Amino acid sequence: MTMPSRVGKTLIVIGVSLIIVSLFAWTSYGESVDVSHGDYEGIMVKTSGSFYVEINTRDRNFSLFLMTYDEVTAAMRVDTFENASMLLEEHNIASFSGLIHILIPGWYALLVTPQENETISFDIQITKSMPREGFFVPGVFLIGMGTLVQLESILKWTRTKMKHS
Amino acid sequence: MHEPFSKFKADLRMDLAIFYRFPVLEGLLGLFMVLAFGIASNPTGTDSGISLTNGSDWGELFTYYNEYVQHQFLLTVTTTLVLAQFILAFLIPMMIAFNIAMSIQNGLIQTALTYPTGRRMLLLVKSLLVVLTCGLITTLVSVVASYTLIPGSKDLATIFSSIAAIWVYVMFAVFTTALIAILSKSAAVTAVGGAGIQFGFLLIGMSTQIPSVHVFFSPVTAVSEFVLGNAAIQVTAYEIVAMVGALLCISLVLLIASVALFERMDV
Repeated sequence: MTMPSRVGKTLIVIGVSLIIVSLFAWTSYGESVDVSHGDYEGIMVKTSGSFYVEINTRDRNFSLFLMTYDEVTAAMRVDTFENASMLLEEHNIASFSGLIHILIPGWYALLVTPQENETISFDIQITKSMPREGFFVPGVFLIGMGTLVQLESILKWTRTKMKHS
Repeated sequence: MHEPFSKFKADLRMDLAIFYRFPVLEGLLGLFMVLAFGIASNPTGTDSGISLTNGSDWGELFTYYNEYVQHQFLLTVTTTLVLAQFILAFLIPMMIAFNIAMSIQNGLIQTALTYPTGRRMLLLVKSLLVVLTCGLITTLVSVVASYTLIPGSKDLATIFSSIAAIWVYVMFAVFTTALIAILSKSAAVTAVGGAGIQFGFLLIGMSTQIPSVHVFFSPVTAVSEFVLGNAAIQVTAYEIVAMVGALLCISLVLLIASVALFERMDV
């Protein structure tokens, strides 16, 4: 077995492993929180792919923010979100439901705050679906790369064989 | 100085070519990748809540999250290593059975001994390759998975003791099974006997009633519990170092005994 063909097979095995990880269990959970004006509450979502978010209030207006772990911890150090860059920012909404696309596995902070000077009761539901893109996409990419390397070594071997025959 | 090194290299090349062909290394890597990345991505667990109240000191929360992330990092690495220890208790006897015992059983060892490298070097290379393969793959995947998937700064020193414990455990498992292979000269006895001894050790180690026994028989679990601050295990750092050190010494004695027996063995 030549070296390139082993490299190709190794890439395929790593790719398959990542795809298996991407198919790990579907999860859904939620929480209810009462949030006063000026406060930010939510969930630190640990995810390796897109997740579905559903937020309900009793027709009260609120703001929604999604940011990376690094951004939220940077904001914690200065006690403000003023200079934080958001992945998602929604204002003046009474409910939210949608798929949040995440390609890089990691931790993300999902925060809500009331728009008006009042306390709102929030129902937040998170659903993490399969496959987790953060593993699935690199897995497919590695399988593709591995297949190309394999094909290249098969072609080389066929050419050498034809030359000698 | 040059001669033993070239003997070592010759044996290493031969062993890699015969016993580590596709898909042995790739299969091991894939298996441990699924384990480590599966644990690090936390597929089923719920996530932590976050609350930033107006007028409070968010800096305290920053400190809390820093510690929380550090704990998650430690938890991920140690959980991976503890589960890896159970997989290795089965895999190492299989690898030794195919690599050493089967070579003795089917006479392949006679061909290997026609190389002018010596019996001692041959056994050392075979055993150390299993130690290196299992140790490196488990260490690498657990660290890479945790570093990739858990944010924030991570203190590598906190996981050093768990990594050291898995290396000592791998050495113990390899050298015990190698001795069984040399004594039995049978692949089946090595695989079944080796796995039986390893699982027996881990089962005894599950009991936390006598802390030293727990550390000695199940070093990875005990060290992981200690670094995670699990109150269930009442053991001091000195006891852990002494017990893991004792296991390492016993492993080395087993290796020396294996080499001595292998040099006198009829093949």
